[in-house]
Amino acid sequence: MMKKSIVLLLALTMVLSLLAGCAKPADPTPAEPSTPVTPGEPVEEPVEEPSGTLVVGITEASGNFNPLYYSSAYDGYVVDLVFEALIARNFDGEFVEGYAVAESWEYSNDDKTITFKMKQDKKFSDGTPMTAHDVVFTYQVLADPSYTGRYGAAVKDMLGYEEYFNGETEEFAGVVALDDYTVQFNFVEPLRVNFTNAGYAILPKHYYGADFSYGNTEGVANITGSPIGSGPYKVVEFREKEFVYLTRNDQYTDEGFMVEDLILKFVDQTTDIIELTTGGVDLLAGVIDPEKIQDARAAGMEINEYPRSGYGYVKTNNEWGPTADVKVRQALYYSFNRDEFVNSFYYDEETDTVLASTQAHPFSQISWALDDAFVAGLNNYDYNIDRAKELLDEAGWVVGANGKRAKDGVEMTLNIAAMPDHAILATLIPMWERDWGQQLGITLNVAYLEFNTILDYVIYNSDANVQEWSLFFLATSITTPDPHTLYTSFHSDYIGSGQDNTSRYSNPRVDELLDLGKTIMTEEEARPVYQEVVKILNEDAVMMPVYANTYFDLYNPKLTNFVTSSLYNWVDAMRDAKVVE
Amino acid sequence: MLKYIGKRLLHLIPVMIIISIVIFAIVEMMPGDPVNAYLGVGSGTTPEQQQRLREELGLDEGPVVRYGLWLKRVLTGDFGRSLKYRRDVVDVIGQFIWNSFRLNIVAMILAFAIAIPVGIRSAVKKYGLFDNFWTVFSLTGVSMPSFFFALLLIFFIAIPTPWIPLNGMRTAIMAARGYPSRMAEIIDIGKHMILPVTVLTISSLASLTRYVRNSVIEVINQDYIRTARSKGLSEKVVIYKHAFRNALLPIVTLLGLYIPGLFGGSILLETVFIWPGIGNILYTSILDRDYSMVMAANVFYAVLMLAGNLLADVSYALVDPRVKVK
Repeated sequence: MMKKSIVLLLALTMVLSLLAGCAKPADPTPAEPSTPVTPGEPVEEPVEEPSGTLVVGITEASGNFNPLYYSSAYDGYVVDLVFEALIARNFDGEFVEGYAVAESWEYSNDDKTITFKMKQDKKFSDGTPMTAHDVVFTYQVLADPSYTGRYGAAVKDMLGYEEYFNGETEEFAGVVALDDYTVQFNFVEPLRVNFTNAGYAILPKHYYGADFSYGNTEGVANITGSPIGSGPYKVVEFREKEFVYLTRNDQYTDEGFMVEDLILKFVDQTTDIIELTTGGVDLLAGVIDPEKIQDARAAGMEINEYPRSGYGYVKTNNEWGPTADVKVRQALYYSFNRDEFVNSFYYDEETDTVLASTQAHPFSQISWALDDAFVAGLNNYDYNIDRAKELLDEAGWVVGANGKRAKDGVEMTLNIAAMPDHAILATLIPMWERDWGQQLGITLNVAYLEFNTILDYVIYNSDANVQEWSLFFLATSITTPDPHTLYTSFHSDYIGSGQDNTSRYSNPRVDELLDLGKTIMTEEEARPVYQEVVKILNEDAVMMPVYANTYFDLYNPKLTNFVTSSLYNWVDAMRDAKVVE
Repeated sequence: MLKYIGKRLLHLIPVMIIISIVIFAIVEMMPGDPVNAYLGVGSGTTPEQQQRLREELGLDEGPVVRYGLWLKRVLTGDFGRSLKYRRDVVDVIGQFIWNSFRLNIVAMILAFAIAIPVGIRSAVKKYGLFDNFWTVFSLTGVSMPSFFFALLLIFFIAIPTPWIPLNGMRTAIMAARGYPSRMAEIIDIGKHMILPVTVLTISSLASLTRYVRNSVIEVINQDYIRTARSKGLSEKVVIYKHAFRNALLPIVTLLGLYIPGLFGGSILLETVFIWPGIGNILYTSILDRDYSMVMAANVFYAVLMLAGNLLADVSYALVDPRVKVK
């Protein structure tokens, strides 16, 4: 089976490269990259060759390495190693010209159009040059009415998307090739966040789009294995639930990525640390368990640590039930001892440190909207049972003869949607029983539901289930330092089934600020707007961030120059890393 | 005999249809839907895009229509495509089944090869030291969760013994670079099978020795064994010729019931040993709401179960001439 498809692929690649070869004379672009060679510069510098092998532990991968259709984060690692986008963030989280495929870019005067100049020496791993038409193809698939992948959000703000999606035109005006190496992105509104939509992996049209036409993306979706991209690595072999073997793409022209072979090996949570310390794998990324970190330290492994971009949080139902009252929400917040939780749950005995922190805002820890003065000005809702009792009394929920709080003859009950076998919830619920239950006299109704069932309750079918829940716990990862992520979580347009405003919070002022914030093009000017939003959310106690933990990358010392951060994961860090055997 | 088998197979058709309806209904009743699970939280897609996705994937029809369409496709051998893998479900499942089978067949042969002599000996020397040892062994084996036993083996055997692999089916680095020979690959896979096969064998041994023992004890108390003994046959002949053959009958039935397990795989064991088997896949496809996968895997298990039962009945009739096939 496997063999057959490889033979087929080879045959296909051969045919395609022949075709490409035939087409060359008609190609108007110069064969040589246009970078001028400075005279006097030594023509042949001692070139460092990629070398060494790195075995990375992963816990899942479904073998769908198609950038437009993959769904697991681990497939995403492979996609990121094999493909490139026009733009990418550097270690400081900034987009720098020339860092990825785009050599430079320019905004139009109305900020609605961004024009990218592409590097002309980019080639896909089969040797075919990458052009602007490949970029256009990629976005045409994303915008196509028959597209069944997950990344449709990339094109929804683009010019002409509605018309293209609804079949009114077969020309997509959103992404246009001006010439072979210039591509233009057109948006309906001038938004700061439009830019990141240019950051999707570029697929070679000749390979993925062989039988693509408007309204027919099936052929694109069908190519899951054997990816062809322009990135630093190519997949040599994938064995389901065993490993992914990648090797350096010799067509990759940019600097870095000097580790020759990467093996992504499947590991299990229970034994992965043993594999690391016994040399079965060289790198485990994003570890949070203090015991594993201790084992790694004891075995002489190297450790990188960085704050996770994201946090675990409790959201309350702002539309229905007792939590619809802001005073009740504030009372719950005051009587939820988050410090106690973090200090016990994330305590690392060996180093006497806590591997997480608490925060009172919904920003990512690495968001550019944060500054110390702002954080200091927020209400931290430090644990204060008396204040909580006061607030509940003020709200009319008073303690009755049976010790339970009631209002208008109705006892206060909170329906908690929880997940079973969840270590964090297993710690939180007894704390809530103690503080909210016994101290405040609230009846807690804990329903244990499987993950997708909770999501069905609070997101997918939230309109039908509004009166079923009072609060739930989930965790989120934020993949951008831009605070625009608050938009879908707190804008009233996003209340309803399938939408992200799960706390069903509605505040005209917040809507107004969020609408304003997304149109401001510079971080400096946008910052105070988002800070005002968060100040209001904080006062209204819309959500209670519980913990923001620290991530650890544990690795064998043979891996050097390996620098990671929350937005610069191990895949990105391979750019500078080396393996010294 | 053939007529009997044919008749039994015919009976299986309505049974299969009912089973498929039940499975479909259960899958349908799971909260959440495939599109939401696939998109995940915060995909940023518009409701129109989500609706289109449902239409493209044929999820916008009512359940009755979808069941009809599903049945129609399945009858032509098409179990649909997995939303996550984007490949034919049959391809995905097929790949993993053989890995599970490889593990289970070795364990099953070992288990039967050990359980039969052990069971006979325990029966003959009832309540002796040997029998008591195996009784304790069985009780421990039955009570101990297999994943726990697996972890014990990993920590106390695999870690101190460098040549026994902790997990996986192949040494990743060797397999990636290419094995020097087919033999080298077989040896490598064989090494990786040591721990999981040990766990599987021991956990089935626990109950199997009991079955064999009890079956032999029952036979030994029969009149014809007393007759055989009283006509002066040696104990060996009595046990192995007269008693054992008759005691085999229920064991043959057991063999039939083991068939589904051969392909079934085990979620926990495969997870702990990272064995690329089918059990894990089914579990994750339920969490992912990958309907085509869940349906196909469940139908497959149902077929195996029915086939195992049929096989048990037929083989019973074959080995026991007293069972008349009508």
